[in-house]
Amino acid sequence: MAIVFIRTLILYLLVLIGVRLMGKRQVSELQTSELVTTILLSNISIMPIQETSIPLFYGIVPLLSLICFEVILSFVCLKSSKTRHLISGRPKAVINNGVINQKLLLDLRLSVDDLMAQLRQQQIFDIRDVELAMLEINGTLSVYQKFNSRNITTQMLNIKDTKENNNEPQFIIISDGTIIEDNLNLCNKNKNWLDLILKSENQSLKNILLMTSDSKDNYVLIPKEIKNS
Amino acid sequence: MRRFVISIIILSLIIISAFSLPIYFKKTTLELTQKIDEININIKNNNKQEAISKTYEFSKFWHDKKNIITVFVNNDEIDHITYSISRLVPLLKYNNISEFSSNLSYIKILIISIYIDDIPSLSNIF
Repeated sequence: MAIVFIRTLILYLLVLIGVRLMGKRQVSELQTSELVTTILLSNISIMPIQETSIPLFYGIVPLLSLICFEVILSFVCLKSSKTRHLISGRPKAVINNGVINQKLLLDLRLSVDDLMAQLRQQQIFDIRDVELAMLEINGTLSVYQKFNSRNITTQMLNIKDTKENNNEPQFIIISDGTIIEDNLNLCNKNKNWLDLILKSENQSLKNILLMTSDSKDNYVLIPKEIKNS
Repeated sequence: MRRFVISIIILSLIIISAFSLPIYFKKTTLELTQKIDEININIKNNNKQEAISKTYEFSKFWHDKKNIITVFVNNDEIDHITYSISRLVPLLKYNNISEFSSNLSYIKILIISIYIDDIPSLSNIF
């Protein structure tokens, strides 16, 4: 059992270093340590399932160990920025003041095609529109556009926030005939209000596909096309 | 914080049990090999009845320990030992002493290998 534990620890560190060395392009969405855990967990859990002569403990011990390593490491990363940067890296400015950092692109092994593809995914088709582009630790690109290319905001147009023009977010109140009580509370409504709405719309709860609402009685109600009997 | 504490507890339990398991294996291996040596002495002294009785005792002792060892050791090795032990009494009853002795030595090696294979040494890890 000690061997399994030590092997798990060694493999975990090895895959962690390996993925860290592979760089951000490989990671995409998942954090480095999370990706390592995911890869190892999926493989380790198969081992005792396929080979019945292997005791279940040979699967349980590494699985538990990996999960514990991940939790402990994420806790340490949360508390220590040095560890966080060591494990997950730092965001890198691939475009700064509208200039591509070509040396960094080379270091990150990110081709211009990859960079342009990531920009296009953010609806930016002209690289001259980019003021700053940061490659985040999870491999995604965050872009800050030049002033002339930015979308117009209410702040730019100097439109003030009033009750008339401020649309509140809509929360899902009923999903497939089920009331989502947390969301009902979020928009300051209760079941009595919901009953009144359903009564006024001549609908029963189980026949509602979707109902959304904000706190100002603005609601959308979509009944099911095939009604439950 | 709660998850962190739980993880620390689980890891501590794993580490403690991982490093205490070889101690248990050492103790069990020692007991089993002692019983094998006792059988061997009786065989050498031509005390067949006592050897049969000690072999039964050894077999029973192995079956008691087997259930615990199975949880931590590759089941193929355990099955191998169990099969070899089941042959001991018939071999002795039919006076096949040479086969009995070689079988007993083989069992001894297998039992010791369970303990040796579980020691966290460099050769075992790599």
